[in-house]
Amino acid sequence: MNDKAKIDQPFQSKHIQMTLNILMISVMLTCLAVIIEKMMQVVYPMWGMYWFPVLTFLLTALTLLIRRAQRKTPRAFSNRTIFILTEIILIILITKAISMLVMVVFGYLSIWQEITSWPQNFLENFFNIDFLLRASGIFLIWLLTWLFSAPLNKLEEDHALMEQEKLGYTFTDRYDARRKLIHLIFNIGILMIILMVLWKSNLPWFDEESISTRSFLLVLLIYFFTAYLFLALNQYAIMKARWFFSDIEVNPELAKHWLFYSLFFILFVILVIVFLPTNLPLGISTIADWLSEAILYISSILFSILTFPIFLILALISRLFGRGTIEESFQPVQPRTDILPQVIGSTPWLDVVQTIIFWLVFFGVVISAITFFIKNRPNLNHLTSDLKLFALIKEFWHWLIRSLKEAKSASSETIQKGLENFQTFLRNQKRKLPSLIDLAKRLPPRQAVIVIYIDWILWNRQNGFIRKESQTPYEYAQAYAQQLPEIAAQEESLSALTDVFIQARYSRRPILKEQAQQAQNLSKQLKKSFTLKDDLPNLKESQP
Amino acid sequence: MTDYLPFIIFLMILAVFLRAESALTVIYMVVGTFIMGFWWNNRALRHVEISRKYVSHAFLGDKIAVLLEIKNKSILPILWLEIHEGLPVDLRAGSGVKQVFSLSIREVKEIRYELIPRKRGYYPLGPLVVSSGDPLGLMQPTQKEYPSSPLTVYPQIVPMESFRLPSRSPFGTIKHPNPIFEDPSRILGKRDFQIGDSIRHIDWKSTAVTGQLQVKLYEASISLEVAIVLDLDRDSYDIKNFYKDTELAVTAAASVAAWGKRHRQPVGMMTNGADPQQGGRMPPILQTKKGTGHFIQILEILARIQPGDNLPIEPLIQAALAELSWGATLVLISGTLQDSTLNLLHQTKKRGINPAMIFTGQSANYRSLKIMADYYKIRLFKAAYPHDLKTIGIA
Repeated sequence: MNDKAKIDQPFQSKHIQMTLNILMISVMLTCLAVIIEKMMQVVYPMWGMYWFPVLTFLLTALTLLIRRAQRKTPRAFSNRTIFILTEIILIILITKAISMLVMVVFGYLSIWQEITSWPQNFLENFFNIDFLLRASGIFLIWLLTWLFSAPLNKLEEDHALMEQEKLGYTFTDRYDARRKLIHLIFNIGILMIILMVLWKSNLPWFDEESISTRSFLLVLLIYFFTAYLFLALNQYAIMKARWFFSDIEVNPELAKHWLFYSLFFILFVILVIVFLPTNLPLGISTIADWLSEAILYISSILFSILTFPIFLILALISRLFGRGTIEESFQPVQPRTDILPQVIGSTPWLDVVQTIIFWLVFFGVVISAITFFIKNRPNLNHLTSDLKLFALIKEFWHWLIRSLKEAKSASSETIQKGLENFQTFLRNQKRKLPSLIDLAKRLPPRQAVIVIYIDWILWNRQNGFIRKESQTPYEYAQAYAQQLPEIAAQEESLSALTDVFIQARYSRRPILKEQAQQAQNLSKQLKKSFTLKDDLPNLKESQP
Repeated sequence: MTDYLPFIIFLMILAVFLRAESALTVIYMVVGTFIMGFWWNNRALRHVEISRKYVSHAFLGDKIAVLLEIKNKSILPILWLEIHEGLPVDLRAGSGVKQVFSLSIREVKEIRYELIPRKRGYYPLGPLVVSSGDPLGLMQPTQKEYPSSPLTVYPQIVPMESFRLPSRSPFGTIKHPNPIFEDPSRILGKRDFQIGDSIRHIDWKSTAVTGQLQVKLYEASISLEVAIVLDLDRDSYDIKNFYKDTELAVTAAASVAAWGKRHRQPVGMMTNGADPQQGGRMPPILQTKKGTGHFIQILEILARIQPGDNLPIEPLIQAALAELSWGATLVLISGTLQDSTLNLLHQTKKRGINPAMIFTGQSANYRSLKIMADYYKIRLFKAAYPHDLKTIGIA
């Protein structure tokens, strides 16, 4: 039961997919019809088929449904030729009816007059130029629908046929069908782009204002959006068939995810391209002019800066020897500001920036496309590797990447060092809190003496003489004197400082301001002699 | 679709040249789709992490549950991911693991499947081939192969109820009818002293209590140090039943090792088969040892070992002799018994080793071999099928 469910699962959504396919092809051809209709309105104002897109949509959907029905029930449509002829005659009649209606609307002819003219010269009166143009448009759509229908039918899921194909009785080349669809879609799309490029170009024989750019663009975007979605769903159909033949279990949620991710994929692309610059405010020649003159201006400034000291020296020498014409003979070269206002002054900066961004994006896209194309062609890849020019470009590219990486690492190192320095600076700033000596000045004498002593101990520690935890002040003083015999002369100061600290810290005797001042002086003396002790050997060494 | 790219690039240049910049939006969309598809296709599988969780050792017939964890570590969803886990036929329970699914951002997908080993062996689970692509099919689907992981299936073990092996090693744990192997550490009981009893057997404490001389009775026991020599050389088996007979030989070796373990006797093993883990070379000689760990080690080798065009068994027996102590038992498991092998076994007997042989297969000259073995007083057992091992040793 479960196995059957698994087998049936891929076929559950086939009707939905078929309907979607018909709708999407109809939308794509309607987009084409919109452009044809707009252009025909300009080229031939008597065209008059404003509802041509609607007719295209209906005709496409109907034709595709008929083709499908023909395939599903071959007995009902046994004679295909007669059926096609019937279709053509129907199209001709409908087109004629529409033409007559248009003529009436425009007030050129009455229906009755038209009909009565047919017996006189049927071919000339029935197949007149207006009718032929309209019929061509409709036939074009009909033919394109035909071209779409054949591969589309191949891609349709047919359980019975697929089972037979699995057993090897039949074979449907789905990849070929998809290829045909891709060619058809891209050919139509590129035709539409060419029309747009020509129409929106500055060529004199096209009236740019006749069709608004936005509507043209919108139609093309809708066309490609629908086309990509259509191709995505067809890719799913092909993959599903492949998985079915390989007995691969397909997750039931995959169809939904496929549709969702395809939509996400296409919308993401649209979202990106919407923000890409397409506006080119300055032409190639203008931007080249601007760039060359900007370079010239910068180089003239640099030259002035470089030559200025030389001219200054020359001018001084001239004055020294009494030559009076120094101002005239040794004038430094002034930057050529005359050239800039003409170009830069007249060019808005925003336009320049926009143009530069445009070219960057343009070349980025072109290079990516070429890379992609070459990567997909192993033969071409091989060919390009043999060519010296490509080798040079490749080498240049690698060099560029390498340089960028080096620049990146160098800049990151610099930034890191800068940050470290900044952090060190901040840390030092934090350390610059009021020192203990400064604090001592604001304290009562007893606390001041204690703080001065502690400050002295800490200072010694920083200078390499560390006090042990177990040492009493006297022991510390003794160790200090033993360790540093060079400052034995200061022994009195040492014992005096220790005594005053002991008195302040452990006795209840009052401590006077003078004693605090004395402690500070003693501490200073000791520190000074400690510093001098370091200098003594150097002094000795420096003596001959 | 890529065929259109040069033309599209040309259109881009034309659009710029003709200053139809708005057309560029559409062209960007066409090119952008290619680039995005290419990027997605290339990137999708780079961030897929796959792990296989299972018990790596199993016995025949065990159900092994395998859990495949497929993780998308990227912030980019994977539209479709086709996985195909290559599984050996001897392990499969049902159809293989072939699935297609999509993975959203950082999603973890768990796939569970079961394996039932039908044959001992050292199997690779995998490789797992994964493929994925872009939604529009702009590029050929990319494929990646994740390495396989090993699964060891131990050989079948047949309980050898009535199996007996000769030994001359005293002081073991196996009872022996011959009182020459009396073990002073295993007291059976006490009785009154009789003339001829050894003075050393007198139990002085009991004598003091009863007032009469009492002697201790000891149980006779032997120690059975068994060295299994498994012959897996192609020339030692009948070509018609080569596969069946070699498998039976491996089963016999595993069963003897299990028998030794059950009797808490030291067992060693050596074989001339090819070990895939050693690059097809012979596995190392396993010295006689007791314990479950050692037994598992023997089973591991027996699980992996493959018969083929290997070294003849004689040099291996000679190597075994150097390893074995006096009184140990050497069990040769093979599908044939050449004269040279018989001579060698006879020599081992002279050196104090007890040789025995389990003959696997259905050789026509078994009767003559039996006569020869009996002549040399070498114990010869025959097993044509695995269930024969159960009754082996019953006269």
